[in-house]
Amino acid sequence: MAYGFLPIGVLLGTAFLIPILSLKNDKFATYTAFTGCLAAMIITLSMVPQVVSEGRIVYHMESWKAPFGITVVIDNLSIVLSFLSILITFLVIIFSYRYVKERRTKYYSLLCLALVGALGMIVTGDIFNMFVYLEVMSVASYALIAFNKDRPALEASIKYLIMGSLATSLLLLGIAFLYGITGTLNMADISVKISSMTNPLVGISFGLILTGMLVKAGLIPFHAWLPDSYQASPSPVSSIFAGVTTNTGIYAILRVGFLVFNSHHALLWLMTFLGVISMVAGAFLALVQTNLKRLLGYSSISQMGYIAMSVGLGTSLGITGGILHIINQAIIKSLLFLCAAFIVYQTKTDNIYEISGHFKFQPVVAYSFLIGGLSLVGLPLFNGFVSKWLIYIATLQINPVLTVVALMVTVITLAYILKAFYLIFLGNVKPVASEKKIPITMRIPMITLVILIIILGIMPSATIKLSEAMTLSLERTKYIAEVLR
Amino acid sequence: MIPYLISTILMIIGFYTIMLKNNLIKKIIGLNLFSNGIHLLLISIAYRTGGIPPIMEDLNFIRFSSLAVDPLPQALILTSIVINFSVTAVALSIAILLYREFGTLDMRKIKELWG
Amino acid sequence: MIYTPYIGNAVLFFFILSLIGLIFYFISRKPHKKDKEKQTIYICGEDMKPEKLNIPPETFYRYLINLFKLKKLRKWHSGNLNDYLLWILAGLVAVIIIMVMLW
Repeated sequence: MAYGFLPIGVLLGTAFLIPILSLKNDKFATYTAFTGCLAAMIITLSMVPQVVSEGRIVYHMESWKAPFGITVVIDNLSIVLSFLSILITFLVIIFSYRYVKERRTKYYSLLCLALVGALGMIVTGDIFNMFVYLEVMSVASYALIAFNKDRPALEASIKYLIMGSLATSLLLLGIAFLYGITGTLNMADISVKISSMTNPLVGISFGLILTGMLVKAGLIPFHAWLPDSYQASPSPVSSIFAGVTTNTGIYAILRVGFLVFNSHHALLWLMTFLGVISMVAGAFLALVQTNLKRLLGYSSISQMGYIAMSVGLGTSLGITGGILHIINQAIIKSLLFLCAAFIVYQTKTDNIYEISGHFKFQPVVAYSFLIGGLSLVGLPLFNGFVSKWLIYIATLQINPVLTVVALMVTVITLAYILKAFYLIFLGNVKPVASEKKIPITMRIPMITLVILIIILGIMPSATIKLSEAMTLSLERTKYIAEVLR
Repeated sequence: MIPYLISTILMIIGFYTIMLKNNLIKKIIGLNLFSNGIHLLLISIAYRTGGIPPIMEDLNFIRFSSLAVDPLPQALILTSIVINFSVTAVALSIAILLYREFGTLDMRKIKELWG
Repeated sequence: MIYTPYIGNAVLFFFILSLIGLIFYFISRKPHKKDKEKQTIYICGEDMKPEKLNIPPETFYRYLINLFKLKKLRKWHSGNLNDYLLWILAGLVAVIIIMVMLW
């Protein structure tokens, strides 16, 4: 049985049910969001056996056949990414039980709406539907960044708003050109019609669509909103940004580039070029930061650069490494941001030069940060090693200069992670650190993500098999054959 | 030809307003102008000279499909207008809060997050 | 769930790992005294005062920052919204030119 849009429907219902159910008491918002997310996770898991056996579930909305209606395509890549997004949001909802104390209704409602936008983008097979869900995710993000209503939050939100709206308007312009040339909006149908065209307008429209999505993904030179937003939003929301929103941006570039535009060599060259610049500049800029969340934001730009460089190589090994790195850095970045959230919750400051000596008091947080940081660098036994190793081997086959650059950036990654770890956890105890015991609802998400990191790292052959299955789902001819049947 | 020209002019004016004007309200108006230019472009892609509205009333199907204008971009534009309306609403409410906190709406003076 | 050899392997692996972890935990609970001899500083015969060995963390990366001129890179992100929008415009023009030329 194909459920199609059912997880999205459940989450949308939850998002609109939260204000109704929490009229009397604010705490019902937490319980409703928790239940809704759990239901969506169970529904997504129940679709896994069918995806494994058939390879791809294609579901036509309202039974309108392919070029005329909206299709929902759930293949390996979509289901893994959507399950990961729901899992990260579920853990953040558990974490924010103690973190967010006032105006809970709006917070949980906006969180569920952001997840709806991300899930819709991941499973849809229609390019205008992707634009609509991108806007849903973006508007929920604009409101979530400005949640604290203090000076940095409002400034970060308005800057993201103007840059993000400009980007999605450019995306709409590209879709308009594409509709004018081909006459249809279904991604498989556009792919068939474009492959026999030599109109230069196709190149212009692709450039516009790519620019719109690059702003959301966070590659240089479109990255300017990213560190401000990660710094100024409430801390569990930064975890959602790093794990769900930015990931979905780069997934959209992959889907549109490899399916609709047939992985043209112009796209691959551009992705590698922008990827290398983002890797290097993101890592260097993270070295000079004094704010913990801003440092992790620049680190996110650097990891997106790794993914873009690896995907742009064009070989099957490169795409496998890139897609596996998407999943790995979502888990690692969410864990790092949750640790940073706890530190902000306890010490009320996020300047790393003011905090010191937390290791004695909070061993759980310290070990989680350490494991997350070491996995980011690529130590064996953690999942970061698997994806980084694939990226190194893939770049070695094409051009060894890229491998040298990637290795140097890994060293700088180690430098800033060690700087953050040393300054926050080790050293002499400053009076800001305290002995408050970490609540159990904040411990469970961190430990879950650590267990996930270790599981994915200890069995690398299973991980590589998973990511090869996901790479196969990006293949163009089978997708078109199954959608347009 | 004329609708395409006007839509290009609207898009250029909107883009110029977002980039080069300093006041926040002017930037939001520029966003609106830019999107309205794109909507005009979409509508003029759908237009057919001498066409009838796409409502089918007792006509032969082949004659109808050769006379009616394209209804799909009209649906796209309605969706996009609603999205832009909600984005403008969020932007204006953040502008009100910004004015209360900073005392100015000049975007050159609101630069506390840097580095 | 269908039983595959992977699941049995994983269960056995985790069981042995947790046993080893428990052994280490119980060993570490025993109180042990600190050896004075192990904590003196030894740099192959030279004499060095302990204050000179402590590297202050704030200035550890100053050499790298001055080498790569990272302060200038930091100053480019000035916080001015118009600069950021100009970057997006420049990126848009560059992407479109690359796409049209290489199509």
